[in-house]
Amino acid sequence: MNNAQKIIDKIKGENIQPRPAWSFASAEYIKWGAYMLFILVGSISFSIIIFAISVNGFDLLQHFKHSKLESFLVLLPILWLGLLTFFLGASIASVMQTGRAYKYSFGKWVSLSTGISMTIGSLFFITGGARWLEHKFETNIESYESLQEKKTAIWSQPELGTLSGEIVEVKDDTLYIKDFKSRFWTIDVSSAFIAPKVVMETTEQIKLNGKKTGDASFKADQIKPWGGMPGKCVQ
Amino acid sequence: MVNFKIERCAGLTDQEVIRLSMTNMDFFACLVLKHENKLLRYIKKISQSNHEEAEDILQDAFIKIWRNLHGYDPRLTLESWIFRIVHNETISFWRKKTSYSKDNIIRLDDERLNTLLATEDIEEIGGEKFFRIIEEILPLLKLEYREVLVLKYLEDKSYEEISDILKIPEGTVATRINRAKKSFKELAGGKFDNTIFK
Repeated sequence: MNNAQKIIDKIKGENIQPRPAWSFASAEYIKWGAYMLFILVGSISFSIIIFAISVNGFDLLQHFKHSKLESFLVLLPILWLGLLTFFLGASIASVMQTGRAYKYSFGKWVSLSTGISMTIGSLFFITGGARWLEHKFETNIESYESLQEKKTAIWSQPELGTLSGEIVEVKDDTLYIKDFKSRFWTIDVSSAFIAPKVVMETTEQIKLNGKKTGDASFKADQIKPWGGMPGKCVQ
Repeated sequence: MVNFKIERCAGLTDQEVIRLSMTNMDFFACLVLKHENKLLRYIKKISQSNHEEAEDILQDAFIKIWRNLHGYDPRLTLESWIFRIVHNETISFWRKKTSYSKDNIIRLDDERLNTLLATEDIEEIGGEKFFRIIEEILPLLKLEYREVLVLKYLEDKSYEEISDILKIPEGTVATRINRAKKSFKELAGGKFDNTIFK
């Protein structure tokens, strides 16, 4: 008995039917759908990372007393970075299963997917989507540490050279501020760089780099506008 | 019984054979008859299986082809698609048959090959001795090298076809072929130069 005969006999004997065409088409659509969904979630994560950078300002790294790496890790929104990595990986794993994906190398898919995520994420950030979404998370998820909370925490470490709060009085080279924990500080600004955007008036919210010189005194090197709503640390 | 003559498929395109197979299974026999010899040769080269084993692999592969007939992508040639399924079936068989790690070791001290290389002069490319040495060297190559060399030089497939069969980018095919040639020449101990790969 030849091979063709054996094969046809087996197919007929076991009544083996071809898988329906729709199952192949739907499997392909599901994989592409998953790819686009994962890319979209990755894009949102990326937009919040940009938002985090814009909120915290990575120039802080120059002034932190920790090591650069340690400070960098403190500033990074780890949750969103983790989500970005996960969803980018999932999108690539998904697209690599599609029919003709093998025509492009793994590296090309990584570059393409990362590029798409970054583009959509940037657009989402520019249109204010990241700020809106972050606010939704902050108000609806109790355990979520918002970027503002993180920012407040980062800029409320006088021992490490950061301080923030509201100006209560301005007198010559001395500022009096109330920090976000309602503690009062006397700030020596005689040799500080004051960013042009800072309005040195009462109720203005600012952030400072410098050095703690006493229990309630601080010598400022730089003064910048707070640049956003204070976080939940206000008491 | 399949009372089918391969001539009935003559002049039909790949898509027509597939379409006719859906309504008349006997046309599917046409696919088997048309491709079986070259597929059996390929299975044996890749997996070092005997004829009976190769036939079993071929049958399982064609059952899979039948099951997935609607999944055939017309952007590929039908032969590339069939080769892909047969290739996957062969690799599954080969992995079950051999210890993967053991087989991956290139045995440079292979006694049989060394004896053959030492005692035989290769008179001409394409001659009997030439093929005997090729047969001896191929199993010693890593699987990923062996498969590209067989497809390129024994089955005469293009880079695009190899890419479709192995589901790897064409650039990777080119890289693997270069490495495979190098590895082949090392194993052959200088008996071959680049002319055998032309």
